[in-house]
Amino acid sequence: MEHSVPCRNNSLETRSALQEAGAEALFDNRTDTLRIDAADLLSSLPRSVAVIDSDMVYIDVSDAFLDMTGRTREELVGSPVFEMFPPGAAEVAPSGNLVRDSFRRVFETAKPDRLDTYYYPIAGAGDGLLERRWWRADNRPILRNGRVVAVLHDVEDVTADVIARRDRDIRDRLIESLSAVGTWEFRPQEGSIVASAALVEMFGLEGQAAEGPAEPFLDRIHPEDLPSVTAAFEAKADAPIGAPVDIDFRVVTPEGSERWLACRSELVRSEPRASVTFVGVSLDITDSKNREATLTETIAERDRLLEQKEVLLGEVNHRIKNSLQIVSSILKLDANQARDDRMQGRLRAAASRVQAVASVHELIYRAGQVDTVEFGEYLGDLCRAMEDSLPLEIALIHNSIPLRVSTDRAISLALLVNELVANSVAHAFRDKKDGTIAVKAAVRDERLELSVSDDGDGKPVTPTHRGLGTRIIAAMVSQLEAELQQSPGARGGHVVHLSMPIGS
Amino acid sequence: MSDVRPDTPLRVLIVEDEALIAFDLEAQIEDCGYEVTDIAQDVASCQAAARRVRPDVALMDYRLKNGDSGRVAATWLREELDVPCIFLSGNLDEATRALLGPLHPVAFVGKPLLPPALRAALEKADALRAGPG
Repeated sequence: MEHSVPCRNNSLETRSALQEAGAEALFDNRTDTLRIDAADLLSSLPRSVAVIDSDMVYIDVSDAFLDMTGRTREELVGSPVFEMFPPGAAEVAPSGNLVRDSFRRVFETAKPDRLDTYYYPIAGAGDGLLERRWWRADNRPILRNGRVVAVLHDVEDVTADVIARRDRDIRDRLIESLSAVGTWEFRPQEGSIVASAALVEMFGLEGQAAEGPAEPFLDRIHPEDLPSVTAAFEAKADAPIGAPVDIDFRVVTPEGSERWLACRSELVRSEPRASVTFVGVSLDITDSKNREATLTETIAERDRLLEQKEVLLGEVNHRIKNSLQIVSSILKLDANQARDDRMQGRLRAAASRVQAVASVHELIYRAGQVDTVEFGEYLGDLCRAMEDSLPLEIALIHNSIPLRVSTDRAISLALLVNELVANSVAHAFRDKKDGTIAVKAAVRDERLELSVSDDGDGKPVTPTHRGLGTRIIAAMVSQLEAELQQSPGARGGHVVHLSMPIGS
Repeated sequence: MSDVRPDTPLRVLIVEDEALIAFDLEAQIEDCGYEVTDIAQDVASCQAAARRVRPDVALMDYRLKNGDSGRVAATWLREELDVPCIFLSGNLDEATRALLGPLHPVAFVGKPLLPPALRAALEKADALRAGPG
């Protein structure tokens, strides 16, 4: 039975003998093993196989072959192969019909002949339209007495694989072109690599083989990064399939420039004990790394400048305060030199006004904040400064509330409070020599309520009075959008009440 | 030139948001023998004041109250009432000056204000009053 050609229409000796014995399958009496009919064996082979004779005619085929081609056994058996499946002009190799050539080689040389992936469209069983199909075939001789009597044509439809691979190739190519992604397979134990053109370029190895020793690639990795790269792969040498190795490192090109690569890979292993391969992709992230570095530098520079700005602003306010203090001192000196009382009073008032503005700058310098000042704190400063220039018998008291106001408003408020206190001194204590002036602040309904009261016996400031102090009060009240009210005080003196928006 | 000048004193509108500086300007203008029509702090009050009494010239600060721009006020004065401006500015750059060129300002006077410079600018405005161009 061995070496017999399974066949349906050309009965073979063995088969005839079996049929004569009246059995399809028998036990061999000598060996007690089940004996199988060759034709039945062929029919139920899981592969699509055809037996073809030297005239290129189908002798028999497997059921799988029928399934694959969509033909019946009656159609195929006894029919010439290339009449059933004629090769189109475009589908054959330039040298001719590659399938026929392969069959001929087997008959001539009695040696197996493989056909790697080839294109051979066949007419569909139903509509007769040509279907685009790719195949892989293994053609083997069937010998009898050393002579090739037929070819066993073992053919596999690889259309789905080819299309999938083609699609994947297109995708890979597009990804490479779009984002400069290099793809690779690295076998650390063998020290070999298969690299895509983009990866070769990333390593500055243009002109080098894309497949071969990994050494040229490893040589290009920055010496500081190489140990960690090697260690990352070594650490995963015994890891299960799918273990990732993700690592960023620098590549130094022959010109000396550095390039950052981000690499993502996964371990694959064909057999449990086989050496490992890492399949991976690399992305050139030099630009983003550079941007990151520039950004870090820029932020550091910005912080430095901001710090410098704060220092300079503080310095400027300190100098403004000093200069105003000098102006105030000159005015005071001038006042002391003045011969008549009126002139002395005027100069002292001017010195006091300049001093009021200076106190705000002093506070800005001390607090280190330029836009706003702490009102309560500044009112204290202001009152202490004013008290120094008041007659000893008059006490100036104030309260303190937590409230921040803008620097602009603080300067206006300073001038206003200075004038109101000066007014009290000038009018309330013209005859009475001792007493108290109270500056009180409160916040009510989002408004700043400020009052300056005294227990003197003077007359309130008349609105018609055109003194400079009165004009400054009017100007500041309007600038602060304040409302001013005057009334007799509970202790017999006089109260000026101001209500204004807190402002920004 | 003084022959054709009107008999009434030059009328000046002050547009300046810092009240004390406005007072100082007012005093200096009056010292020169001119008249101050009003003191405005922003574009709206400038327009209201100029409609009430048309000034011969406006003394215009570049930065006004509530973030208003003196250029807006000056443009309105020139286009609506044909009133020229003297710009008060310590540090206007060339680009800003070029921007103000079409308004044909009488002068740019720096801050801090020095009486002689202000007096010269006001005299120029007074002379122009006789017949511009």
